[in-house]
Amino acid sequence: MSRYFFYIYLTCMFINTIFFIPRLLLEERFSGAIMAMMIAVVLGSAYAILFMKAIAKFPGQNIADIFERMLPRAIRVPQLVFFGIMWAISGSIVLIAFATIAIRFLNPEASLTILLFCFCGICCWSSAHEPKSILFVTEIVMWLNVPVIAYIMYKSITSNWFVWDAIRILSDYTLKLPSWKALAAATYTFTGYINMAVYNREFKPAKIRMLWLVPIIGIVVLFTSIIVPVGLLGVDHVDDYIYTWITSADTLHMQFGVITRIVYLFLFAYIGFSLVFITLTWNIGAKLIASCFKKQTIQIRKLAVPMHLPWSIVFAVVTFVAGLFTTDKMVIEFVGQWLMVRWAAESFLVATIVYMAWRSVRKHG
Amino acid sequence: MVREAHIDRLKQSDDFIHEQLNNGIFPIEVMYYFSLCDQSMIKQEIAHPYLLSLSPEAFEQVLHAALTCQDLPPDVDLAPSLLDKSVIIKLQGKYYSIKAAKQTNDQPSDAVTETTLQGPQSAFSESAETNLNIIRKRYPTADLVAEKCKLGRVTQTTSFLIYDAERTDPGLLKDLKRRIRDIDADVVQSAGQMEALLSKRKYSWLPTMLVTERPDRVVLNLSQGKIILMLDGNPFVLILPAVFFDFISAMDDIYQTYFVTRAFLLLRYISILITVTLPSLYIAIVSYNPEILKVQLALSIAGSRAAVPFPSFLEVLFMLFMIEALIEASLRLPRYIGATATTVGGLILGQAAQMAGLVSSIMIIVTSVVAIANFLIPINAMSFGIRLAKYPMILLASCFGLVGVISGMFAFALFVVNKRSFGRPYFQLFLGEQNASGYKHRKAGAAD
Repeated sequence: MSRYFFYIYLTCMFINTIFFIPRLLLEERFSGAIMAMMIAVVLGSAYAILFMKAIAKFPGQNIADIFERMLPRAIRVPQLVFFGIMWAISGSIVLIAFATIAIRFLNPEASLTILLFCFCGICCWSSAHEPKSILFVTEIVMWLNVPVIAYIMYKSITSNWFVWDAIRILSDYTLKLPSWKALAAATYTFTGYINMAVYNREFKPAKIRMLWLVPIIGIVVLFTSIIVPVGLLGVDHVDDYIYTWITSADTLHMQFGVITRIVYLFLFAYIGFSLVFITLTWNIGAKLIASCFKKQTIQIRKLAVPMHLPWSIVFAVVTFVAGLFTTDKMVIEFVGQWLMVRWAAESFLVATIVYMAWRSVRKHG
Repeated sequence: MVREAHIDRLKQSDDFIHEQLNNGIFPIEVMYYFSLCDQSMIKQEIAHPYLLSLSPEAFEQVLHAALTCQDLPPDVDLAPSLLDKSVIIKLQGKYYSIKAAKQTNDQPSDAVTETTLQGPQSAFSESAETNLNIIRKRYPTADLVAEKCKLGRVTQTTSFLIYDAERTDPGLLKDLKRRIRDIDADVVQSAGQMEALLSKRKYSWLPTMLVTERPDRVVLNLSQGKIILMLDGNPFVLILPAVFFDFISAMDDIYQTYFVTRAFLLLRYISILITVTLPSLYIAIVSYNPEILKVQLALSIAGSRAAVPFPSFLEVLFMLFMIEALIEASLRLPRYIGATATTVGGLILGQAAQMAGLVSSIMIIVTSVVAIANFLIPINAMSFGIRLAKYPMILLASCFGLVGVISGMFAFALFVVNKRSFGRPYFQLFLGEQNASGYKHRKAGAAD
């Protein structure tokens, strides 16, 4: 089952290194972004490994089950609701960003309402599925898309217009003290492991093998995500673009393909990843909030509806409305602030689980 | 007496025979349906010994010595055993039944719906007993258990539950038996119908149990710990549980060399992808994003569409309607007319529709590719299921363009992955698990 952990981890990593993180990091590329990434590799991997070791002490349980054993209801419920909302937001941001991207790069004439409706509808439906099914579909999407992504990376690194000098210039700015914002952004890359807080329930022997791959994959993906745009778009003007990565992919083309512009391949792969990511996060968010209730199903006429379905619908509706009234600039501002809150919340969650694991080990010997 | 009333009720039917025999020493009565029983067997087993018997006791000895003879208790209804192809003999007020089934249609026919090039060529017959014989011959182990049950309130179809007791999961067997007990139907006649009756959901799309006519597939699946349900009067049997990959594997996959079979499997998966997505991709590309393609290709598509007055989705629906109607027609028509229908439809209409400017020539290629790709799926039930999958995709493509196509593929994948066959995952990448077609991966123990 270890592979499913890595699928989740990779999904988050791929999504995060494309949408906002490069943009936020490249803004501060001359003032400590590189250092932030290096620290993030250490911190992020440490978080991931600590968390995975700790949650392995609770085989077949998610954080709702663990909290239920360890914490009184008055403390537990606000925490679960808060984490649920945090998860939902991480999905919603991607959804709104992707709807905008689809308009900018794919269907300039389509209306935002229709695209948001499409995404919200599908993700609402998909996030109401069982975690097992979502894990299976993640695997399929991963196997279909990773070759495409690898090909695009190969194409971009070997492109004639890729300037290694720009990378060398950037490396001069390594030894700078990073800002909190850059650090929060860079650590977000590694956050995929946190989904195990809920999906741990699906992993009966909770031991995940080959955890040492976590930092290695992290270094490769995180640094590629910064190096490629800088190499292709130039070190000076790389932060002129809102969706840095998609513009970078648009500089490449395939001479002999049926599709000549690589950006389309890139977008197809990323629609898949985004859908999986939103499904994952909304599913987790809905499950966490639903776990605050005693009843696990609601009876509507003859159908027994699982408790998390209404919450998926709430997420979808809120995201739909929010998507209609936000602009690119507002989203990116919000993400910058949200990432800091997210980092604090993540640290808190990791610390809690590690403490609880320590306490339960001490109690049971 | 009640029994006489019963016999009178049976006499309404002209194929019911009720004869009084007398050999000069003691009389007997014989009752049977001549439509169900073999009369030469009755002569040989009953009439002939009766003629030679000197006393009722001696004849009773003869009856008891015969195979399958049963003493019927005085108060039991005669009809079930009569309808079960037995002869009832009344001797000195006591009733005996002897099986004398007339064998009908027990010749295995050639496999027609699932053919292989170089493998066993015969299929099952319509008689469950012959089929059981075929399976026992091919799977000679004492672990092979066949449990008999009657299905359907009116039809009382004899059916057999066949499994390898060593390899089958007992939980699965229990679940299946419970579901068979819960069946509430008057008429049960085919394996496909049993599939519908066994599944809990009323609305289903893709098959989760496999209907096959091939004994070799049955034997392979038995060895993988699956359960076979066989109905009398039906050359098809039901294999369960089944995963998606079972429906995509042909028996040829075990009979050919490794790389050849892998290449064919790849071909099938690619064709599934094509048959599901190509019409919707056509719509999305023509109506939303023609710039995706190479300029020359985009221009030639636009050129071939120049005369077409409709939006692309109408063109696609028009053409797909024609091809689906054609497939359906050639399926149901007698073979001779069927060939004419395909010629008229495929060649003349297709050509004319393009010349008349109703559809583009590219669209005709798309339609044919979609239809041909669909025929590559070896199991018909799955082929029909996949045939349906392109329509939601077309709807999504018409509304949302390429985003809709990709979202639709994601949703279809999630839908398939979310299915369960008897509580087991239906579709996932079974990495490191047993191979669906069992090619050199057979485990010693149970399949699970």
